[in-house]
Amino acid sequence: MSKVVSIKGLHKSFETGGEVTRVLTGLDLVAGKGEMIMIMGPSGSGKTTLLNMLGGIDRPEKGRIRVGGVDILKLDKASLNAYRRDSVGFIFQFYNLLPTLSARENVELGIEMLVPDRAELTERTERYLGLVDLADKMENFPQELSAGQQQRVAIARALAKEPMIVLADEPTGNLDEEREQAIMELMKSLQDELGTTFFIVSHNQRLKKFMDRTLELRGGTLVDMPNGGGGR
Amino acid sequence: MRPISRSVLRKLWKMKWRTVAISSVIAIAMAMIVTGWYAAAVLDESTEKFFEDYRMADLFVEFSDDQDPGDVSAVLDASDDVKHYDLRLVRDGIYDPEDREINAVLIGIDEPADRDVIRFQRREGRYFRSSGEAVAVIGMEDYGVKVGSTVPFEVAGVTIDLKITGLVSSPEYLFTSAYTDYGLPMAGSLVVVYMPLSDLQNVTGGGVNDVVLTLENGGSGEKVADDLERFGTDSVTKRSDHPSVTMMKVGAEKMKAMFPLLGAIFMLIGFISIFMTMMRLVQNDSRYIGVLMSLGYSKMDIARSWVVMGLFICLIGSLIGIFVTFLLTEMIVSVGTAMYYRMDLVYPFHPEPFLMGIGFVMVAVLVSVIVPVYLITRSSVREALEYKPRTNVHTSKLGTGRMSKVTLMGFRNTTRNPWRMLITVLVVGMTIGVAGSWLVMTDSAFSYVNDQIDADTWDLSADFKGQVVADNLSASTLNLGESDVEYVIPYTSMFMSVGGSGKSVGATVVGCDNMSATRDFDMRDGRADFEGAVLTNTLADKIDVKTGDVVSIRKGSAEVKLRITGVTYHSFLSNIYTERKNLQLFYDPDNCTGAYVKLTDPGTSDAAAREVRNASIVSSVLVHKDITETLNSVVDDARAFLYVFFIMNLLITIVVAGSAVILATMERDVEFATLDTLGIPRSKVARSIMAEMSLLALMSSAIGIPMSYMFAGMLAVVMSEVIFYFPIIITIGATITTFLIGAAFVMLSSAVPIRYSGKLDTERTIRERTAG
Ligand SMILES: Nc1ncnc2c1ncn2[C@@H]1O[C@H](COP(=O)(O)OP(=O)(O)O)[C@@H](O)[C@H]1O
Ligand SMILES: [Mg+2]
Repeated sequence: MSKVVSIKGLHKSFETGGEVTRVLTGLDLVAGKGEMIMIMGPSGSGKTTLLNMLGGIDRPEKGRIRVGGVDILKLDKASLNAYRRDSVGFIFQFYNLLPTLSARENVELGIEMLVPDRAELTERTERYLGLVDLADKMENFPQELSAGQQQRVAIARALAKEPMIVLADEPTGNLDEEREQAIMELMKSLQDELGTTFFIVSHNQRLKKFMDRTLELRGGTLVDMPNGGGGR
Repeated sequence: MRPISRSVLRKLWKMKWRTVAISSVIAIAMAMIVTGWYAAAVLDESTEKFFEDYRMADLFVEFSDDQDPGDVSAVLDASDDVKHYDLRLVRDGIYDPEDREINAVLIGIDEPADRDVIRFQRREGRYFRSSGEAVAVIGMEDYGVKVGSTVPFEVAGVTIDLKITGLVSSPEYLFTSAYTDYGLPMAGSLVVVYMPLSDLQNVTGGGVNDVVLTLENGGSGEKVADDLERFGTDSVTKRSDHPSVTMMKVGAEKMKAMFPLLGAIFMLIGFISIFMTMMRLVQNDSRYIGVLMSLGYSKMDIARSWVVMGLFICLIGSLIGIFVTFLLTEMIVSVGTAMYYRMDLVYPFHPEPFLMGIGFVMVAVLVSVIVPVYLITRSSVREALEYKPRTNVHTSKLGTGRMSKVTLMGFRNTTRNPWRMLITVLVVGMTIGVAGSWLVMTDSAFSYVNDQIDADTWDLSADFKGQVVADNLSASTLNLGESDVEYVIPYTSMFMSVGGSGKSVGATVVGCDNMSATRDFDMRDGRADFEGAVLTNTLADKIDVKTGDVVSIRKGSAEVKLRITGVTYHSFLSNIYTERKNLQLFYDPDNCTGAYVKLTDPGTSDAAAREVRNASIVSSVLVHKDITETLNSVVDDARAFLYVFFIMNLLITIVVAGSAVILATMERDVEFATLDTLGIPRSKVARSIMAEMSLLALMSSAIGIPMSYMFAGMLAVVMSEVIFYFPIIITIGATITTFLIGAAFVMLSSAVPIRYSGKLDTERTIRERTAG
């Protein structure tokens, strides 16, 4: 299994009102191609911070982050943008859909720069919206969709990119159990077919069975946890 | 201060740039309201000071004939009323560069430097020192009257060559234009030179014929005039009646007259901008208001804390506003006067307009704060706590699938909040309208004035030295060949006192038996029937009469009453036209004092004018073509000036549009951050913003056009009171310029959101704005 992500000695602290919070203190992490990793940890332990750094929207004080063989901390603004565009799929806890674009257009927005061919763009958009079971809601605007449906649009938008890594923050928080299982199956299949690497932040024990590894952020570093169920 | 007020102020500090932005909108609104009024005061005061500094004379006396300076001095020295005086010799002359004759006034004085009466402002070169040298009033350089050149003048049949050593501004000739026959503000139509008195005396005979003097405190001009009466005075002009003074007063009057209208428009614009801004600000904080309510604070407490914030914004806004007012005032007054002379501006202590401006700002801000606070605190604590700034947007399928989704998003964003868009477009459109109204007005006014002049059919108007028997008049008496002229129509023109319902003013009374052949009369009402009197609308309005009324014409004790048969449009002349026989009480109806000449070939009017001028009976000739030319040069000057107003108003467009879009942008920060996480480059985001702004710009500009006509119409009413009447016409040039430049300026304000989105901290935005 080849290494896709390698993080070494990551340090990050925040200063608020003169008080310094050390969030990450020398965090190490290696993830292989097509791995699905769950990150747990109490609120405020730095899970989101870790995802943000992997996605290149925040920087550590110290450490190294290599994704796909590239040291992303050495990239300039434009290359970092390209990195996010080509290699990263974000799934936010609060979906962050664009309210003036329909479900279809939200997905297209994420991939139009990757898929120049219009027919292919349409095909891929419809395929992924179908996969999250929203084939009949493609023309609806976010505000016309339920929370769960919006979350699925956000998931489709990230997955349709078919990125190298997916960074998901509580991706199934608004889904019922059945949907949750279906979405996880979908991610599993992408993992198998495309070798996508997943980092999933969640407290949901039910997700554990889909994971290859479960880590806990504790005291600023990652600690291995026994995996509850399946994996492979 | 209570903790809750303190916390609101701290919030202000935290969003300091936004506070400054909000305050700026307020400041501009305030400045616009205050400037017109204050600028008038500054102009008044500065002019006053200028006239003081440059020793404007209190009395101007011209004698009919040359006098011995010793005699005049003796009288003036004996007077207790006179402080300083200067005896001068003034001669009319002609300056004749190439093929154009320009009137000239040569004034012989003793000493050009440090004068007690009529002091010069030296603009270039030096004063004259010896014989053969002279200084000229600035403004005729284009005609060859410049430092170093030697200029020939024809005076009383002799030619005087004068070497111009310097250019000066003189308070008595600020507006050389105001002295021309046609009453038009003609630039470059008069050369004025000051030269050694003895030089002028040597050429044209000794003596003096002109006195300028200043009075002692409390001195009586009338008494001095009476004292000088024994020398035979041609004219006595008090300082307050001098063209320089009245023209400057008119300028200040104009500004004051326009103030209420412009002020009202900007108050409306300002109020809407302030209200939109503050409303959003309070709404964004409604959850915080809910928290305060849950902590047991009363509505009053909460409202008070917001009022503290409002007052604070008022304070900053007012301070910036005062600063901007001074800036605008300086700009307006200097641009307005730079056309004529260089004047140091005096800023008088004149707090009324400022107090009014600040009062307006306070009311606008407080209403804008209290209304939303009231709306929110009216709900229950729970509702307030759960209040979320609306996330629902108006969705539409605007745009095509072919468009990049980022651009598409830009277009859709235009209508995501239709009400706000409507208000924004209206307000921005209004500012563009105000700007455009200047152009519409200029074009209308000048095309109207041009029409008025084109309505004349004559090419030359000859003024005779005395009265001439009309029947003897022919082409040949004017040195022209019979075949050169299409008509020679005699007229009698006299300046007389004309009265209507109680009021009476000075006006030119033209007696002519073939008046309708000389001009295409455009009647406001009545008929062009010269059996009775036809008045220009300017005059009719001045003396408050209409068709059917009786107008009385007086000279000395003689009075003639005529029935008004019609009122004709003329934008600037105060004339009465009637048949010669109606005026026989004043002069022999067989005689005339001048003639209109229409040439067979109007192209030869310059050459013809030369011939006519040489005719023995002729004293001066007005060439119609020159009026048109002069007018066009005035138009160009005025255009430049009005364009400054146009652009200045558009700066307000930027601020208003900018402040509206920054609000719309700030509430979309999560969206911008999301685009960033999707790897969409800033340039594409910028393009999306441009797409949105261009729609907004086009809509605002489109609305700005009817508004510009509406405002121009309103301003034209004001203008007809202070300058002259003109109807508003549809002008393609002004319309297109307003539309394009207006839209361009709105587009400029897209720099605000583009910069905002570019500087946005993605990580922080996502974390703060989407936290559970
Ligand atoms: N931009 C920031 N400024 C200040 N503090 C921050 C910032 N980002 C995160 N933090 C702090 O770092 C800690 C970790 O945050 P986060 O990564 O969001 O935790 P988690 O996602 O595990 O709940 C928290 O204490 C949070 O307040
Ligand atoms: Mg988190």
